[in-house]
Amino acid sequence: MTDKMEQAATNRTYDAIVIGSGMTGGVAARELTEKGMQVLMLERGTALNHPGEYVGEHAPNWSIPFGGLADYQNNKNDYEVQSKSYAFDEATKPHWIKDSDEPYLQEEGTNFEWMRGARVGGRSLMWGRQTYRWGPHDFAANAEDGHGVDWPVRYDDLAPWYSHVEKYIGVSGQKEGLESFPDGEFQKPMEMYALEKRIKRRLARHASDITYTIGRSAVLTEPLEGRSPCHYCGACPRGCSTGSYFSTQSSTLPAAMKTGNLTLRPESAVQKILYDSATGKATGVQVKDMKTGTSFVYKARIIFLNASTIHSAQILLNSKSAAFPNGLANSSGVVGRYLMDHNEHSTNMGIFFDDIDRYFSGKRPNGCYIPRFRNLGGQDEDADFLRGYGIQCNVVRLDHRFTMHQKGIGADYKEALRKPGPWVFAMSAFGECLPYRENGITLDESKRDAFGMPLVKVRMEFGENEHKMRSDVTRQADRILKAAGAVAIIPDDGSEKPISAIHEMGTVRMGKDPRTSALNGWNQSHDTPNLFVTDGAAMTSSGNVNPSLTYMALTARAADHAAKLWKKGEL
Amino acid sequence: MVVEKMAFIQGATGMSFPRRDFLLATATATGGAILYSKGLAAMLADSEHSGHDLPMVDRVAYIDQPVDAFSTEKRELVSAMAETLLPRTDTPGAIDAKVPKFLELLYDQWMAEPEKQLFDQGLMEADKQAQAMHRATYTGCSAEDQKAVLERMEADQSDHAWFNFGGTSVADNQNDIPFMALFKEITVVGFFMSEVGAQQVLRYDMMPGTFDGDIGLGYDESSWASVPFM
Repeated sequence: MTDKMEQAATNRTYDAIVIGSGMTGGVAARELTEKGMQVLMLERGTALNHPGEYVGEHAPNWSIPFGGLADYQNNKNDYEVQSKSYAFDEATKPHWIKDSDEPYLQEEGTNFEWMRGARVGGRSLMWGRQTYRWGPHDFAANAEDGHGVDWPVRYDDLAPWYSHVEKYIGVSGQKEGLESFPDGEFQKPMEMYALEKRIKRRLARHASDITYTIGRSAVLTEPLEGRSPCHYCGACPRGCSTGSYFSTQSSTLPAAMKTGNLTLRPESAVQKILYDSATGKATGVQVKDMKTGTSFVYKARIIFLNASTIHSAQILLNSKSAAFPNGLANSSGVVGRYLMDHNEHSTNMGIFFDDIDRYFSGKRPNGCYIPRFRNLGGQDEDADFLRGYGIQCNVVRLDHRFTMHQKGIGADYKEALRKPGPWVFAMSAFGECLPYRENGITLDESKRDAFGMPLVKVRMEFGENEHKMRSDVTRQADRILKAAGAVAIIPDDGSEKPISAIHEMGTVRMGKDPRTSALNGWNQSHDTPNLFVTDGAAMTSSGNVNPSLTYMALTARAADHAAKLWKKGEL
Repeated sequence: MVVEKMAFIQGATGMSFPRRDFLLATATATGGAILYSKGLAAMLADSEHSGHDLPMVDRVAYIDQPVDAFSTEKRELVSAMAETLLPRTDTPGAIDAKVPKFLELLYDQWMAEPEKQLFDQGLMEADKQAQAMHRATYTGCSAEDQKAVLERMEADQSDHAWFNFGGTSVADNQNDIPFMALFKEITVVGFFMSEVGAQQVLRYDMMPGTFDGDIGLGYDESSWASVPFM
């Protein structure tokens, strides 16, 4: 890999440059190189080699600094936002950017937590691995209720690409045969806890409109392309040397490297995409080397922008030229607008006295899922909101981390903490967020980050629809928890929380009309045909399932299209 | 098999242990559950060439580093208080698990100035209460009297959200925590995250290999040592 890095050359024209090595950059690199294209992948983060460099993997509990307690002093200085992620700890810290190096601004009164990767692999290293297809209704939603522009694609366009990607990333799950929650190419599902099996049986009897299924997860239960099935050590974001969960490192990067057509250059921050008004095409990228601080240019015939939703918009807005004074690919003025994130405010919990004598071995890195059941096939009579939500469900056997808060000193206290507490069933809804023009990002030219980029200013707020949906989640969760047999219910407290589902999307949306969208149905810029944006930025609406698989399927489809045009000499 | 695995993990910790041996031992300990994988074979092959050791295996326990933040008297008082909270019973206690040293390291490396002051005030308060209740310093009291001191302090301080079901972490709540919340949380964490606490009080299995969500739990059986929810 080092040899290849040295070869990254400014005096040649690559067939394609892929900006970013995360979830979608990896897929783009794999697809394009496998089609014979010479690809340069640029990543502003540092190298992280698989499988030997996951410093936190399998770290014994007693080796974790501070016993795993949050290092609040240093976090406040350097990781003020990143440290709020559920996947941030002392053993995953190297995977996250330092907020102190790359601050962002927020419109007053809004609170959006922007989580970012600092390594090759981006957030594919720390993602939650939940992997779901959108349903046909998701792609039709904008056209039906008039919020946002219509998608230029439908489920049938994407279905073969979902299959294509699922086969190589590896997804375990259970087929359910629901039209609104399409099945995929699954490895065998993970096992349920005894309590989950009990809840499933009770819901089938007492809430039969609810489907309760094991999480569909990009964690292997069978071998795949030299990767091993999960060994259930439990803390995936620390890294996985057996490649058991999908990441760029475990899957797409080795495949792309195997072709011999990929050059990867880490610590290379793309600042601008360059444009030639004579040809009407993008010609390359301006890069800042993060080690030396020098800037230079790489050239390519095709550019894939996969820098992650907000960074992709940032790069486009920063790529100003006489032809595009408001940023490249932005004749419509929509770049930076219509930012969305999932409506994930609400957690409802139930305490169970069932299966107190049942326990588990192995840490299953996956929960269960209740797919969307509201407003399917038309608006529900009792629903005062549009669209819907799915619910991620986790059963947790409480241990000393929870029970230490009880009063008591001495032998009895110690004994109480030693043994498992009751089972808790936690339901976290992820709801669709409508595309609002006023949600988005702008650049503050007067302030620069360590990468030399103008600072991003974010404005992200939920609207009335999201708030009404949240109330509905709590009502429905109460019904579901009662049907499931909870002895006590702890409802969502309704308090204001930051927007932090880490599913941010939109800002460079696809659409049919170049006046109201930036990308066509192939994720191709309406304005600049050799520019493709295939990460979360391209999303026209947000759906409610975890979005990564859809980004990856769109990427594979766009790469196939780009390669065909390239072969014909059209780009 | 569990015992065998724990012995292996103890053996592997704190010393440089070649990657290849580690992986083979792990595969053996997991009953061969991951032996068939091509990925593992590739890792073994790779490890022989790369010369990388598995980082975790080279890690030493957090408490195996020097610290000199407390006076002898302070060290004795902290030890006594930690042992009062989590005493040796038929399983090891706080001192067996070297929790006092963990607390000294946190004081030195982790606490900000206000938390240090809170901690110091709590220690003074323990001595004051011991004098008021038992006419002796804390370390001069019997184990029973020491327990009464901490119970009194907790009774005085427990009207705080930390003591609610599920609670919150002191790390999220600095500036607004009573001493007993700070003391209990860091002592409990230090205890159950320690090598002794994880393996001899709780159950520890770094590499389970399989998942089974429906095994029996005997009345006296311990929780698994915790892994963060990610």
